[in-house]
Amino acid sequence: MNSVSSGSRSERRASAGRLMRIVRDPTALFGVLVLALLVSAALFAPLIAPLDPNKQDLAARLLPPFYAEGGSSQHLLGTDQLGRDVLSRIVHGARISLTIPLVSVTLAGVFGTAVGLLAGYRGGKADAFIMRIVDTLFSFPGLLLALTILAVVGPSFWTLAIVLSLRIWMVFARMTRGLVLSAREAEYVEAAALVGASPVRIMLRHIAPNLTAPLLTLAVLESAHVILSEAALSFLGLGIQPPQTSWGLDVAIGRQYVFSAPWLIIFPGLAIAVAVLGINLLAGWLRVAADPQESAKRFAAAADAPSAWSG
Amino acid sequence: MGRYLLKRLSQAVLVVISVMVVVFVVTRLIGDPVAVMLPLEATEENRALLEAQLGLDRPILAQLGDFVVDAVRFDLGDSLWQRRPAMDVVLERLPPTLVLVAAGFAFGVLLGVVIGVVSGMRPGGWVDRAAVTLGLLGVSLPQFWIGLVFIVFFSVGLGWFPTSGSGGIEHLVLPAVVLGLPVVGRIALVTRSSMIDELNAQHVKDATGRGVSRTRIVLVHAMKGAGIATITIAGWELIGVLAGGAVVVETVYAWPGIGFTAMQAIERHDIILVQAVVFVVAIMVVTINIIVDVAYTMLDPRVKFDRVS
Amino acid sequence: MIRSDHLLEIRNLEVVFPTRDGTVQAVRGVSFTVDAGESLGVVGESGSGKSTLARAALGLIELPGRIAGGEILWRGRSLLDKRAARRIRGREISMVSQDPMASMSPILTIGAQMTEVMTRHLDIGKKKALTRAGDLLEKVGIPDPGRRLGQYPFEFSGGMQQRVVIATALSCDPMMLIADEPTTALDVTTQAQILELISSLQKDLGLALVLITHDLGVVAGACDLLKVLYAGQIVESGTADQLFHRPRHPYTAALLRSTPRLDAKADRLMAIDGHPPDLRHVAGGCSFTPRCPHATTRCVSASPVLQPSGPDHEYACWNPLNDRAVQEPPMGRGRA
Repeated sequence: MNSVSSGSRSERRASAGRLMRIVRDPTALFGVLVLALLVSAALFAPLIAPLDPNKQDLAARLLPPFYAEGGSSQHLLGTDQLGRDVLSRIVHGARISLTIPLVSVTLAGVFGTAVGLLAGYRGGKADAFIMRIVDTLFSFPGLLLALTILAVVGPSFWTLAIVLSLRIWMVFARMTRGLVLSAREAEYVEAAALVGASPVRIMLRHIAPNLTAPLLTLAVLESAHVILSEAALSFLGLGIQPPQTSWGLDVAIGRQYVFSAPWLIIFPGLAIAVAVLGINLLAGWLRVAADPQESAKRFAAAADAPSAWSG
Repeated sequence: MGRYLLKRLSQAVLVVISVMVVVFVVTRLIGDPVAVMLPLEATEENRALLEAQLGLDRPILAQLGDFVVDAVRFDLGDSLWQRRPAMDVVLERLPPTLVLVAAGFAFGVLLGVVIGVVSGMRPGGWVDRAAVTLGLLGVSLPQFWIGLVFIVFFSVGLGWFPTSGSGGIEHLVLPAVVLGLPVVGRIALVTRSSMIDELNAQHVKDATGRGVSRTRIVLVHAMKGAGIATITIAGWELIGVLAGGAVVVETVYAWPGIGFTAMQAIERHDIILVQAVVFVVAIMVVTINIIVDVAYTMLDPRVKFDRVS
Repeated sequence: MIRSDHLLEIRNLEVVFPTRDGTVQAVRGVSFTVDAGESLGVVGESGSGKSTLARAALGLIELPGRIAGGEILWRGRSLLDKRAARRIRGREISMVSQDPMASMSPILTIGAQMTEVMTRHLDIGKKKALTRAGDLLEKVGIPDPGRRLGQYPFEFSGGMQQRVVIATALSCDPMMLIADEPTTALDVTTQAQILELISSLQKDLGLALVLITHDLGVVAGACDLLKVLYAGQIVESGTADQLFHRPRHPYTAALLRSTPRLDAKADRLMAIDGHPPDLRHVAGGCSFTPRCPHATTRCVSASPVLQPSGPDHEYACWNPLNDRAVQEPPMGRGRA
């Protein structure tokens, strides 16, 4: 008992030390700062955005950004074909572009983890059956199927969030199952079972703590994928619909003016890129922090996690 | 080997059928295909006519059975937009997609492996840092956006390549590069990671001690091991390119393949044509999976066909 | 070229590994020589620097580790020169390491891994190399070598795989074999067979042998001369007979007491109390002081140097054990 409590105490101390280390790691710090910036933009959009994102001003149509000739300080990143302020649209777009991954990953994470726990803990036929379904879903043509579903059901915030979570829950299920299987093998879990601890208690007290760090890392990583998927679907016209705004949708709108007003696609696209990059840097760092063996490899961590991601 | 392949093939057929069942359930039960297909001003008679034409007035299970049986016979029905068998349209548009996917995937894998091997040989060096940054950008930049930025920069700005469409090799360059960029990123990062693992493995250290040359260690010992690890990822990437990237890139560059066709069909509410595209892509995806599994088994002596579940 | 009449001469070797928490001084001023056909045993606990010593002798110290001082001479030529070391590795000096299963690539055939060394160092083609590989396998006691060459390491048992590793090490007719814990990963019966194989090959081929181990029982029968390594330094050196019967250094004596023997007299094994010192923070004085039952204040303040105690016998201790502490020798395993 003693050794257990001292172990968790030193673990807590280690995680505090890890938090200190993120400050010293420039790339991870960059990722965290970028994300903090984008999240606060999303939270306080009405306060931060200089203008109403949907306010049209036909007199000020297709104004270039401030640095270009004809640009003004009133519209720092220019205006679109209806005279709407690009910067304000990006700030407001952060709300949906960041809420979608939050919702989708939460849905997928909760469902996938539950299924993985069930498969890993029950084992046997239930496990084989569940994993067969999961494997089958991994072979589905991801984005294309999502497009089809959205085209038939009709795109909206919630259909988009659900369709995107349907594409990734298997990743959580597979990882949870793997973690449960290896945790069950651990001696202290076997010992707990021998002394008659109930399955629920074993699950909560002994197995669950082993799942948190890897699943959180996976959730961070998957939210990068969801942002990119949402952007792609909105770009293709099957994601977020006007009058709502999202970065992918803004690129789609700007596409018609790509030759005359390239800033309409450049800046919303940059917002997507920066958000995804920040998340990937954070995910890579989290993985290294959780597994010292990975530290030699550094950022590579972000990419080689299994994923249903495509496109 | 034969029994293994047979097993995998039957699994593949099962996957394709389940994809089609999902498509069926979504289109017939959750969505209202007739409403999607008809213009807004359609009358009740138009509706009834289309329902009868599509057989939607029959019991749902009978519909499902027919749908699956027809699909297995490669009969997906007539495209509403083109008014001819949807499979014909898809097979006609398939070659451009295959050309684009082959070019983009080859570019992505070749460049990715080269970058991964070179950077994995010296982790932490400047080559490695540059490669990791490039890899991270490859997986972080939205593909449709790179496509548009490339059009702005290379087509409009420099005038090197046409902005869209198909034709000669000059039409292929931009879409193939854009399609391959995320592949470069992920393959480079994965290859790098496995190269580092391999080069730090005891057997590589001992091979050095036995007097095996560095060149042979990198090219034979480490690269064969890393290749086995990379091939699975490459399979996923090919599936991603085919089922996701191609749709996006073909749309950006108006490349006349099945992805672009699917988007056109969606715009024209031609659900049947969309289903045909999904069907063909699903078949290609399961085929790729089988090829990857077989390649993996042949490359890695530790895995035997009879042991693969 | 520096003059040296020995096959291998190591002079005052110092190897360091910088880490985040300080520099580890893994080898601290070790000197010894090996002559043609001679067999030397290097004995020490894990962390004593014995494996580092072996790797250094092959020019295999990897960054961030480096050789901070001293000289390694192979037939009078310095092996600190990486290019010279590359030419000699596998050709004139070969190595057998601890875990045979991890020692060869799991995805290349035995044949490929045996011939790749030969085609590089010997002037022979692939076909000839393969024939030779088959002969070598037969020589180390692997039946049906023709079939075995096409197999992968995982298709061999640990002992068989170690025979393959030994055969590969001998493939270019080296003058010296360095075996780093060659039997540790094997089960006891196999250990004896492998030791016997190494000993007989050494004698048959006139090889020089450096046998590195933590187990005094292993070197008892196999080596002419033993070096006891502690905390990166040689603390005692002598013939097996001298060290087993008249150890002068308390560490050697403690090591003997912790080695299993088959005679009835020693009815229990004595573990050595305490831990080896932290080589990141090496204090002055004798490193064994904290664990030594005979330590005095002098041991803390000054480092003892090796001093002779008869022919071939040296020790580094201020308060050496005297001759009356007669020890029974451990039963040698694999005596040829």
